[in-house]
Amino acid sequence: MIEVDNLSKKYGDFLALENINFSVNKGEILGLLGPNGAGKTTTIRILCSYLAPTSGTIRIKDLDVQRNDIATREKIGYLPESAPLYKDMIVYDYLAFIASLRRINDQAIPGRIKELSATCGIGEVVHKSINELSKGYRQRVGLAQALMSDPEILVLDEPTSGLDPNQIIEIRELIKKISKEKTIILCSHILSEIEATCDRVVIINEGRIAADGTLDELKNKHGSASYITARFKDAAADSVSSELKTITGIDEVKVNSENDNSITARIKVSGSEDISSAVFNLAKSREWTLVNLNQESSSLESIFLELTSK
Amino acid sequence: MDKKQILNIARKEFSYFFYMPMAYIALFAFILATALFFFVIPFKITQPPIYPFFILGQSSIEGLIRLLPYLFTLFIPAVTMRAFSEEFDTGTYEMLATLPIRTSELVLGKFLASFLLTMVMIATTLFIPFTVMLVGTPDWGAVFCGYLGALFLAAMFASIGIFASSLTKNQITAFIIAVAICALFALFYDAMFFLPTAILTVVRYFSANYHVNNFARGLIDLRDIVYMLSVTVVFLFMTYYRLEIKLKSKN
Repeated sequence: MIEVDNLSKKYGDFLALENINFSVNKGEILGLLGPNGAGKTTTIRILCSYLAPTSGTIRIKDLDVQRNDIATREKIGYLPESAPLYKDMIVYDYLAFIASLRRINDQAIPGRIKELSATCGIGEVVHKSINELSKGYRQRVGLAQALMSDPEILVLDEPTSGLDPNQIIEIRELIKKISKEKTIILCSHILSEIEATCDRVVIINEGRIAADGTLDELKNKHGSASYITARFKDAAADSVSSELKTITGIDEVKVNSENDNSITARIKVSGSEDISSAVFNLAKSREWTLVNLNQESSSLESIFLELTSK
Repeated sequence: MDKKQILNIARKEFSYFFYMPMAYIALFAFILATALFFFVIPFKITQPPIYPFFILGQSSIEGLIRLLPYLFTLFIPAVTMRAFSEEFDTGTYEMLATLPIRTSELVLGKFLASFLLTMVMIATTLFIPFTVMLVGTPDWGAVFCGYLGALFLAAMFASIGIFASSLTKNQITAFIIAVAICALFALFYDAMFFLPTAILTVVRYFSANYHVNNFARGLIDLRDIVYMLSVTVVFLFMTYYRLEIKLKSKN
């Protein structure tokens, strides 16, 4: 559906993107993840032919976005970061304006706006001025704008930034609801958001691709180290630390004495041996009371930190 | 280019303008300034000076048309300054420029809306020929010519204002740039009074006043029309290239 091929972008001397390659399949929700300033927005702006690349191409269904800007924009619904809207306009007038530019014919416009108001949950504010809307509603109006022509591709840049937790959940639900028949690119630096909504993740760091794959693939590939936390009672911190280290497969043990006389050990494990049983057996033989034993699965967060903090 | 897209942009721009109090303030100030200078205060910046109607006692609107380059220098930039600046500032330009619309359609749409707005401004001065009619018999042919000249001048200054607005996201800066360029066209002729007549006859072709004054006297000369249309087109092209270069440069 979308092919990004050797894409580079310079702003003067600053290299914002350096030979980026990735592709997005039809019907996929792709998360574009990276720290602020990594090049996510630049990539998206080139995709929407708002900016021109220094070299390389992006093709949508074999159409180069540079040479066929109008044709490719027709396939894309785009919600820029922080949903810029005309503040003094009435929501309805704004959506009608977008509809006219999307070449929806005049008779069909009221019906289309009604449909979108229902999908995006803006029915009760459609006759209000955009000025009066909360951030959450503005984001929804922005989303309605992006969905106007029922595009095949939906590009959302930080769709939940600046929203409160309830609004974030609502917007995510909304994205999931509309994701069924669309290809979506979701740009974010919030990991939980990508984890909650995306099938596949491309991690960009300093203008380069740091990782590309499904969440499971990334966890298998980059999440080689995993952690176990164990909490013991009736044990001495020193002995817990030294004895745990004798178990093969344990790399590192950090021990903390808690207020209630228990001891927490955070154990870094390499390889895939069954460390949990070994820890349990050790505790049994030393007569420590094992209060808690918890296996942390490697999260996107740890992968992200590992890949972007070099 | 798609005519429908141009009209879509123009319609929204034109109506959006009237959402804001700025529109009414600018229109009111324009009417007030026009009436004051036409009826009461002598305007001596230009040569020959424009004497007010009640002093001159001629049933003609020549003075009104000759005043317009100076008045438009202030009032047209005031209504065009937000055209692109505001969109850059609030980020709506990014949304607009990623819709299936060409830059040329966008520029022409914005220009058309601004031009329509200046036509509203010009229309508000129509009370002047009718007032003149109450006390005398104006030459309606000359009135028509004068207003035709006013429209060409408005188009020219509107394209300058749009261009200035495409340069910056700060509306005040856009206003100042547009006033400076318009003032150059409006004051050029008056400022060059010290030049020898032979040079002046060439130089005056670049001044907007010289051409407007022809219209004001009731002359329709193709050269005047060509001049004003060319300047309009040049500034529209510059706006177009400005927008394309701003975003489409490879570095």
